Amino acid sequence: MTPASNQQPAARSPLQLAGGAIVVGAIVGAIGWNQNHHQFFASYLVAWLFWNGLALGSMALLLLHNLTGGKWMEPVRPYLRAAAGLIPVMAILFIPIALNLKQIYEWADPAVVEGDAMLQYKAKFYLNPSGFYIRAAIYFTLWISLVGLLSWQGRANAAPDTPAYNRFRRFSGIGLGLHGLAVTFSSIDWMMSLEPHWFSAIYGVIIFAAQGVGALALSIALATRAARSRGELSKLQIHEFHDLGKLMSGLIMFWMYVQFSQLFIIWYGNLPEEVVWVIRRLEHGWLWVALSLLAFHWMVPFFGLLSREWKRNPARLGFMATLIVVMEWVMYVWYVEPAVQAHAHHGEYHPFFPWIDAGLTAAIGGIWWLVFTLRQPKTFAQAEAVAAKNKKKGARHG
Amino acid sequence: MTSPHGAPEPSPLYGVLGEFADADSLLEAAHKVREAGYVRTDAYAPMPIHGLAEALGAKRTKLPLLVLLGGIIGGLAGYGLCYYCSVIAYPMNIGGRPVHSWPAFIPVTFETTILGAAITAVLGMLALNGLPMPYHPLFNVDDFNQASQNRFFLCIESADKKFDEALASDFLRSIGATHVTSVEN
Repeated sequence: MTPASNQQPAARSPLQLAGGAIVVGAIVGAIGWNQNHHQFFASYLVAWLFWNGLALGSMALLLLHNLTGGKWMEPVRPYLRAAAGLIPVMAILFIPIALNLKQIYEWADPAVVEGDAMLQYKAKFYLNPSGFYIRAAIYFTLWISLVGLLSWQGRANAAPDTPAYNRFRRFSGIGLGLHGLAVTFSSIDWMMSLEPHWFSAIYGVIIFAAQGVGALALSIALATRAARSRGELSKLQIHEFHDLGKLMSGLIMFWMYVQFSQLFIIWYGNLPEEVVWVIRRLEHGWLWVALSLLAFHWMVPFFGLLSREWKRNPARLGFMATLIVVMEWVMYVWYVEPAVQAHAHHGEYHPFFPWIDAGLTAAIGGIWWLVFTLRQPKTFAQAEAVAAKNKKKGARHG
Repeated sequence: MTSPHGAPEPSPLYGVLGEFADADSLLEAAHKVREAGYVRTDAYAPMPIHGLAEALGAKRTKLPLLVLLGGIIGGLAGYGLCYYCSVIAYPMNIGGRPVHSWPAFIPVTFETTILGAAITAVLGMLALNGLPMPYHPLFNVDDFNQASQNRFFLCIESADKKFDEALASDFLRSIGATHVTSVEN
């Protein structure tokens, strides 16, 4: 699609942006650290989950595209490949969380578990630090292997319908199934266990959907921006954006569907140990955050993208995609912070928590962006090579 | 058709049909027919040809708008049904919830929205494209069944205001039709 050389002139300012984000974020993070360690690690978790979700979602979409084939994802594939390559970096950035479980999760604190029969019972089978570490090691081993598979595929540059191509397809299918399990269990370990008495069977699906829609939205935002800076779009490009817009609006609907399903089942059951999750996320002003998610993560993009013109106009499609990425971050704040505030601060709200969240998101984002930008020339060059090969072979053309 | 006097009566024409050698010449002809001012035209080809519909001035279908309306009507009907049942006809206390418990109505509303949109999409598509169509005047043309294999046709219909059998036939020949047939109704 985009020649790698086209990326070079623009590559400088993203790097400066990344550097600035790291510096500013680190300063805000240091202030947060100085004020309250619990809050620092909670904010770090929000930031890490957001960026890790974008990397994992990108990988899932690539595996999915390997299975379905087709041209529709080609314009965003190089971005997704660059983003999926961030997973090893996210594994390194997971270390501060792993080393400070007690600061974040009450089940990791022996003093809390001692006085709680249910946590003792859960710790016996699942919810204990050693289990947490072993499972995290399994998730990252799987994910890094899958990223390895994807970059092997990028280097191999196999033409469609060759034995090599079909081998990557088969591995992608198996990988996507295992990834579904890993996302489910990792979301239980890293997010749901913030409220260790509470449980929800659809939680993993919600996180899976959120990661997918976030990653697709980020790649569309970047692809539309690049397309706009190159000037006039070809009919084919508009057609491709149209398809991507349809996929994004479908994923938004799925995201809303599973979010509502969880709320609905809890509302119907009306059991004290279940409703606490919802109530924590609707009081102390969180109601407005919840409503903003309803409005800007679903209503505005969904009804906006019903229109053919909005999907085919890169500026408008890019606006919707950017909105979704921002709201994705708000979703992680809304999922994590109410639980942290109830536990670590005993219901008292740390006055600056949104700023510390934002600062650490910028800091991790700077690192993320740096690696992402540096990886792009390679993924674009490989995409070019694949496109050239496909054109030559005449396969999957038109 | 025969008149009571035994002399053949001129049957009303559906249009004139020109055959073209390949997709490119059909596309070029479609542009020229449109430039010449013919409005009621149609093209027939064994595969989709990029830009052909635009060349013939095909208008965007109204189907998306109908589907949207179908979805909205379906959604309102579904919510209305729930509201009528739970609030008006059989108000019951279920677990102490208010009779108008909107979260319980959402799944039904969601499903009937999709049902309304999907039914409108299928029926609207059939209504707008006229299928199923057991008879069409073009079936009278001997080679027309080849349009689904390897032939390319362009028809100027008699419903066009500019239509004149001889002029239209000559025009089709002049823009490269290899063979021109008048199509009876």
